[in-house]
Amino acid sequence: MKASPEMDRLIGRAIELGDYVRRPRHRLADLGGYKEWLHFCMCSESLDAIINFNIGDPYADHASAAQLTCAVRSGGWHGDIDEFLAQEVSATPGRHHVRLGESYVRFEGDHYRLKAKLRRRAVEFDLALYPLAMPSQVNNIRLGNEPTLHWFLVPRLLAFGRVQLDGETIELNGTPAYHDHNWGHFGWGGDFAWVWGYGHGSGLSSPWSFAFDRLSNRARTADLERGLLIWKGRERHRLFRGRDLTLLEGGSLRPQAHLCLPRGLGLTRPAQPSGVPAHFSGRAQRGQDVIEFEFEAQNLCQLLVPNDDDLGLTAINEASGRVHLEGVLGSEPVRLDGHAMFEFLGD
Amino acid sequence: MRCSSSSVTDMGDFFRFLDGALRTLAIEVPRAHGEVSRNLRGLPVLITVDRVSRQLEMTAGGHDLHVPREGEAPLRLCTTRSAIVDLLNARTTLLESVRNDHFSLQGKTEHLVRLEAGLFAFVQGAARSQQVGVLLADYLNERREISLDQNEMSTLAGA
Repeated sequence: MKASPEMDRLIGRAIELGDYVRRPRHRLADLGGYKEWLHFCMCSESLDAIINFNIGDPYADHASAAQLTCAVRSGGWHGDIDEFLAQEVSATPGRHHVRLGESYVRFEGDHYRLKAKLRRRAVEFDLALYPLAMPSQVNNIRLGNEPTLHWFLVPRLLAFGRVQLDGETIELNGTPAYHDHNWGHFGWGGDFAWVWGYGHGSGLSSPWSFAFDRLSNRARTADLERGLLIWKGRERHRLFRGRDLTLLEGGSLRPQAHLCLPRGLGLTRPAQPSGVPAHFSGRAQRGQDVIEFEFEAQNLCQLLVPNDDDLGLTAINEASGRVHLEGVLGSEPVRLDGHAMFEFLGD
Repeated sequence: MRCSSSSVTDMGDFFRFLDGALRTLAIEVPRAHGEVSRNLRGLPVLITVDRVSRQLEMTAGGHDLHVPREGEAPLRLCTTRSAIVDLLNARTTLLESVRNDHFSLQGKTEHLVRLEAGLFAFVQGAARSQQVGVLLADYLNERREISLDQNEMSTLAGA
């Protein structure tokens, strides 16, 4: 990818305009269940990392005010979810800064500065993440009968810094990363499910990146939305939506080891996770433009979220693996081989 | 693992936790408490943790934990604090724990199914309550780890 200071400035400006804290100052009289989180992840052959600053509903009756989730796969899985009381949380609407205890993330004009440290586990991140591609924002995503969700994403970043893991230090020097920020009013356990994913070509010589999403009813029998957005270098290049896309799931992922958080809730789950496909592929076609992708899941981190309106759980399955994407856009051939992370929401 | 119910009269830490957690769930997560009650009403459970035994009975007004009387519990659960810690930290699964004799369950199949449903409702409720988290942290931090090996378990079982 070629250097482009002007484009980098525009990307920084787009982040300033889109990636700020929304958290409502006042609770809407008839709406509970406000959700908001900032999510960062990285995936490669030897390392997966998930860092999630969940600043949730400041007026929730029983839940903690915020949670920090950190999960790392390096050899085995490590991680935990820390909870924070209201007085430990700083997340002012309009600002590009979230602090949970000692951990924080903020946008500093041209990069994200992120420090995260778990309280009960020796897992610590100290990162600077530089965006490489223009963000995208999807507003007013309807989740079944729920009010709407909003999704701001930066599909491709480079991470520099270090991860400390049980006394071991892993240096990151340009590790590919992804970031998104979601907010809105909805209840976990509602009649919806989603799959989203992202992928990059290996190395900076590959200009292609993509983000994918599919929203459906909870049983996944009816899709509400599908989208595949392709970036070339720093710029959004092509969007496929709805019936442009056909999708196919195959097999059932049986990872050798997986992490389930919070660990205590794992007691109520089968030892082998279910509902995560081993293969997920898609074909997008509109006119002469055709893209096909195939994701092969390898590793799994499962985050369990208590449903808001019943005693059940929603499983947020973060699967990492290899991706191959190929096709033609205009008259230009497209080919991407690299790593991807897909998130499958299920029961 | 056979597990006899000893009649220790001091309230063990685990039972302080269990008593507090059930009271908290009744207030903070009544749906979970209701599920525990629905599954365990009329089904006394003899619980032994680190050699201390209590009988749990779900009642119309909540629950009752009392010193066991001989031969009245159709369900028996026996474990140790270290086994509970291992389960909560996902170092083992419930199935492995039972297979490795660190978690003993005795009763008719239909009663065990009800116990599992009640236990899962308890866990689901605990996940929704900060106060139960505080009680659990108190329980886990209060006492030093007691680890019973198989010989000690057998000795206990024969006591």
